[in-house]
Amino acid sequence: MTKVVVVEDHPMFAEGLIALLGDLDGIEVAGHAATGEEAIELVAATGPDVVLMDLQLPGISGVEATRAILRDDPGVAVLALTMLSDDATILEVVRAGARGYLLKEATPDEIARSVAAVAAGQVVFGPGAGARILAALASPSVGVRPFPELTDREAEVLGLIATGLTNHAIAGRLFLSEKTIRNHVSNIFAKLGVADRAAAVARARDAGL
Amino acid sequence: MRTPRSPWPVWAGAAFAGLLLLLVAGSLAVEPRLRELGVTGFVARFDAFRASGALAFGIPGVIVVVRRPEVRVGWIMLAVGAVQGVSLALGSYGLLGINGVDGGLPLDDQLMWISNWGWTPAYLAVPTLFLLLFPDGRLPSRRWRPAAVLTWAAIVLATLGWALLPMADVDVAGLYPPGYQGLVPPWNGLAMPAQTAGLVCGALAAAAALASLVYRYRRSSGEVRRQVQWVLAAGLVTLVLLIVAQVGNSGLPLLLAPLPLPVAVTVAVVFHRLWDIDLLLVRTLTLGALSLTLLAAYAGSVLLLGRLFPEMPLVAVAVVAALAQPAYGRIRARANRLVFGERDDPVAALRRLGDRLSGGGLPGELLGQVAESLGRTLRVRRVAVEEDGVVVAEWSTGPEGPVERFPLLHRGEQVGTLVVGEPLRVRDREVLAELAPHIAVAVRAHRLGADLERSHQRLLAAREEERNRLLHELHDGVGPTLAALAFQADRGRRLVDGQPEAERLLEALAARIRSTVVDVRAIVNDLRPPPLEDLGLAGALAELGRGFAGSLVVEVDAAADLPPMPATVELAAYRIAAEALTNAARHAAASHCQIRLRAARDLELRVDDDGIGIPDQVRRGVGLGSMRRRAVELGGSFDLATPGTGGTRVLVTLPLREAG
Repeated sequence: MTKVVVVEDHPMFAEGLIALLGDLDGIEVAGHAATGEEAIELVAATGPDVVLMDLQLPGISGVEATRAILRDDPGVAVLALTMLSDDATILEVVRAGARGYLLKEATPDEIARSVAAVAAGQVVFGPGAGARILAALASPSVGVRPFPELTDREAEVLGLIATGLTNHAIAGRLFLSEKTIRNHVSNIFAKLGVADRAAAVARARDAGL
Repeated sequence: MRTPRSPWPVWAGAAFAGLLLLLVAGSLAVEPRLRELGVTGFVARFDAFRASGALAFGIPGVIVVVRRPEVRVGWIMLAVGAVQGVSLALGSYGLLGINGVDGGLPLDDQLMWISNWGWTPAYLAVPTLFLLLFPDGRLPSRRWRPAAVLTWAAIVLATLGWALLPMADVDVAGLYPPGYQGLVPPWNGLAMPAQTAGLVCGALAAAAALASLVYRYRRSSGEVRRQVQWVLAAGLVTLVLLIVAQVGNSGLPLLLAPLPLPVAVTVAVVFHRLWDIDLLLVRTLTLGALSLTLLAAYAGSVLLLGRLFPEMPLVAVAVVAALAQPAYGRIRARANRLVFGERDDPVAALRRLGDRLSGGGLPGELLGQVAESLGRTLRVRRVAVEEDGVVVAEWSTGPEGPVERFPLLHRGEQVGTLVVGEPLRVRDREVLAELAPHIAVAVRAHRLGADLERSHQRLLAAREEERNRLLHELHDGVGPTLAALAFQADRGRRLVDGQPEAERLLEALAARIRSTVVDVRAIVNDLRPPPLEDLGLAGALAELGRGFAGSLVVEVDAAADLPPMPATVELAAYRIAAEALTNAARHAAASHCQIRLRAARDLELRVDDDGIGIPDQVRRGVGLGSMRRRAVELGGSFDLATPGTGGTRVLVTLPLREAG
């Protein structure tokens, strides 16, 4: 029996998903959380095998919740379930430790297969996303520095972003043009696989920058 | 008034200037009498030189001293003028007495003697002391002390030399009645050696003084440099005139010699803010002096005519005078315009302003042009236009001085304030009153333009906000709801087990709903605010291109030197490019796309694809219309073409200069 926790803030979708999972053989819905904070508590309390995680949640994001859950219990399989399909979003959640990724229009069959797969320790991605993610993950990641994939300058810029400075202010601080800073920021986002500043800051903070 | 209250009140200055004029006028007045007595003429006995020196140095000198008593060079000028004026008057008085008017006048010999040497220090001070101390009244440095010593030696020796000379030995013939001896000072044998020594010292001191000016010129910069440059040039001219006069022993160069330096100082004061003297006063007096000179020349020429042709009847002289009068009037008007600009010609000022107003240009530049036109027309240092106390346009040629404010009224409502950086005369106010309504219209237009620009920006911001709201509705509401409906259809299909018709229907329904979710995602992706702030336009477009991976290879070719752009332009370029990529992928079956960004005056965006072109029904569709609208909204252009090489080319230009 696979114990599943559903984290989803949209009540109707959550209801449909829970009903679907309930109909499937071998799956037991251990609980439902509507926010990331609730999800962390619920997972700690119920100890599920799989967490179906919506990424856009009120309060902390699904990515942050994933990271927190896996920090407490690395054995949980998190399967992201989201409306968006862009590379940055996917990479972000994979870096946070999710085992897989499904779009919300996934069919019941796909969902069943994916839950079973991640519960069995496999990794699941939607069509097309797999190759891109492998390419993005191919960059070397061994080293003592928090973000070995970043150049010294990029790491410096990321540090300044994390302190809350704007591109303009960073440009002034480093005596560089704003455009150069934008280029660095663009590279940083690509290398960290994040979609926006807030996510980059979260990554930097987590890494202790 | 910025200048501190001077210990020398204006009335004292005016009295001094009046006295100086009186001395010169008195000398001129007795001239006919001296002629009758057979005395050598005014010019030939160097009195004209003294008169021009007295006025040319004395009048500017008194202005400087009244406004800025701490400026030593002003005192030198004043002293030069005073000494020349007094020695001139004493000489005229002495000559009258010596040549036997009323059988001699009291102290005529003694005063004539003083006049004979009194001019010397004033004459020598100009090419030496004055140039050496200009403009701050101090030596350029301690190393110039020897030059100062030389200067004083020259002045003392030369003055002594002239003072010791027996009166009868002066170098001008025909001053005294035959046999006149006058005073014979003691030790008069020293007169010639002292004069020669004084002359040698004077020549050396003058050379040193010029060198000091060159030194100052090379060390200074900006406004000071321009001040010195005028005086340096004038110093050279003066020296050349003095040398020519000395060598050729002729009257005219000597007569002209006192003029260049005061003119140069006046130019430095009026146009380069030397000594920071109240411009209005200087200008008024300059104009006065100019007018007086002109008047004197006019009177002189009429007088001369009468002298040259004594047999000509008075009527003819009057006719010539009448003919010369318009010329005088015109020259006076020119002088007036030179000094005061077109302040006294409202029609010309209005015409020039009108040219500016109708000359076009962007609303933002118009007021600046108006301010400049006004500043040049009125010859003032600074003109600014204020709206609600905020300077919206400014023209200035120097640091800020005292200002006058002039309300700008449009339909009885004050729309702004005109700030003029100089005290105004009553007549200036009249000219400004003529011009103000027209400037007020320009200010009003400027404000309307700014309002329009603001509301346009608000409109664009509102649209972005609306897109955001829609995005969240779709992303958080419609999308998940549809996905949930698909689950319910799936459930329904399982519940109706055994009814193939219903199963097929519900299965098709679920599939249709899921494909709608895909459509919703496409709309959501299109609605998301592009990461322009973080990545810049080129970066954001590259990111956008990556989103098409799988169906379209997108290459972004952005010029390395793209300038910072207004947010509205970046957003429009991004959205247009996004639309073009969508069309290329969805309708033109393209596999490769190039986005090219170039910026000069405008941002040029070009999107080329290798597809089959855009079908007609899409051409008329919403996509192209919204692309065109975005470009036109910002004052740009949009063009869709099918080049000979095939594919589709979208060419958009967006002005980078922000209007308003």
